[in-house]
Amino acid sequence: MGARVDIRYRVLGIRVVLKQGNIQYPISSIQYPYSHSQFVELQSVHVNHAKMTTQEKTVLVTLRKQRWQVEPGKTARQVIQSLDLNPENYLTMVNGQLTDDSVRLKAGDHLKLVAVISGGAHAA
Amino acid sequence: MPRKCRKCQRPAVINMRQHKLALCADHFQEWVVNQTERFIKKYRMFTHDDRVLVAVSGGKDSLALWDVLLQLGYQVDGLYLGLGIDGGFGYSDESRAMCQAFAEKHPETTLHVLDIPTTYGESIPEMAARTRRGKGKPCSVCGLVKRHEMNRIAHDLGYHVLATGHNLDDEVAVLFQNTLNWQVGYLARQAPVLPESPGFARKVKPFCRFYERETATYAIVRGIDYVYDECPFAEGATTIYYKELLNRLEADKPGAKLHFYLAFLKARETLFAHWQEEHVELHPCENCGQPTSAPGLCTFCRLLPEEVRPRVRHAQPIMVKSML
Repeated sequence: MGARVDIRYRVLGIRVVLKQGNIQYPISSIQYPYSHSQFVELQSVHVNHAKMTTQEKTVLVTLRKQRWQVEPGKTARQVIQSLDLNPENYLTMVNGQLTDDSVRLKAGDHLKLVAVISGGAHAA
Repeated sequence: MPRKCRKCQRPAVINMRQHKLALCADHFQEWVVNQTERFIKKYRMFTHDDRVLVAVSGGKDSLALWDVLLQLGYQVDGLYLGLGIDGGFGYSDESRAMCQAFAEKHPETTLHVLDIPTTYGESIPEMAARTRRGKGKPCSVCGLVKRHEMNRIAHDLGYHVLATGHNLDDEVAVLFQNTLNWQVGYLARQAPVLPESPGFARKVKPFCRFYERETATYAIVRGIDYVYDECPFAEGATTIYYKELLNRLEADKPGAKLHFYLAFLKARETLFAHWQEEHVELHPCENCGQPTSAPGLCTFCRLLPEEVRPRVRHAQPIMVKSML
C-alpha cells in the first residue's frame, strides 16, 4: 500500500495494464470494471520501489500541526517513544482507524496521534 | 501482531494496562456503559427516579458522560454555560455547537444554555480583567462562575443531581496537588459524590474511575464530535503539568494512578471522619439566596457590578429542545 504499482490483468486473453500509479488502498478492495467477468484474472502486481516517494517509503506521523516521517517496522508505541513523547498521553489512529498502540506500522501508513490530556474547564 | 480483544479476538482499539484488558470498539463501549452503571450504584450517586443535569462543555468527557447516561436510561439533560472565550478560534462558539449537535441527535433529552456575556454583560475574561481574582488568568473566575451558576440552575430547574465529566486523571491531578500542598479541607471534600445540603445540589462524578484515554476512546468509537482544541487559557495550567507528570509514572508503573485514587478514597473514610462532623454555619446570600460562609453577599455576587446583581435572581437558561 502506498507504493507505486503496476497491476496487470488478462482480459479475454489480452494482456492489459488496468491500473498504474500510486495505490493508496488495499489491492483486495479495488473495484475493477471487469470484476464479475470470468475472463478476468489477476496476472501480476509489480511494486517499483525505485519510484516510491519519501512518504511512500516512510510512516507519516501527525500530532495537531506537527508532522514527522519515521522508518516503518516499529509499533505505534515505539514510534511515540522514539519521538520523546509519552504513549500514555495519546491515542493512536492508523490510516483513520482507532487502534491499540501495539500495531506495527508499514511504509505509507499515516499514524495520527490524538492528545487525550485536557485541563481545567469541564463546563466551559 | 496487534493486540486482540479479550472477548472476541477482533483487533483491539485500546489496551487498558491497569486492568490488563484489551478490547475492540464494540466490547469497549459495552464495558464503559456497564462500569459507569457499577460506579453509580457503588457510590450511590443517583437512581432512575432522580432528575440529573449534566454539565456539558463540548469536550470528550462531558459529552461521553451524557451519552452513557442516556444509554442507561436515566432522566438526564444537559447544561451548557457560554463563557465568551474566543482564543482566536471561537472556542466557546465551537463548544456550544458541539453540545447542540449532540442534543439534536438525541430527541429524548434537552440542552439548557445560559450565555454568561448575554446574561451578565461580560465574558469570563472580561470579568477576570476587571477584578483582582483574575490576575493573569481567568481560570479562578471561571471556576467560581461555573460552580455558582450550575448549582443555581440545577436548583431552579428542579434537578436533584448535578453530574460532571471529571475523569480519574482530573481527580488524581487535583489529589496530587492538594497532597503536595496539604490542603486538608480540599482533600476531605474530594469524593465521587458531594451530598446535597440545603441550597446545594448533589454533585456526582460517574466517570471518576475512567482514565482520560478511555473517555477519549469512548467518544471516538461512539462517533461523538467533541472540541479537540483545549481552552486557550489552559495552556501552562498546573493541572496539565501534574497530569503529564503522573502519566510518566503510569507509563513505568501501569495502574499507579488508579491505585493512588482508590487508596485515597479508602483512607479518607478514616482520615477525615472527624473533619466531616465539623459544622460550618452558612448564611443565605443577600442577593441570590445561595448559601455562603460569610454574612452578606456570596463571592459570585460580589464579583458582579452592583447594577448587574439583580439579574442573578431572574436569569434563566434557554432551553434548546432536541430536534428543533
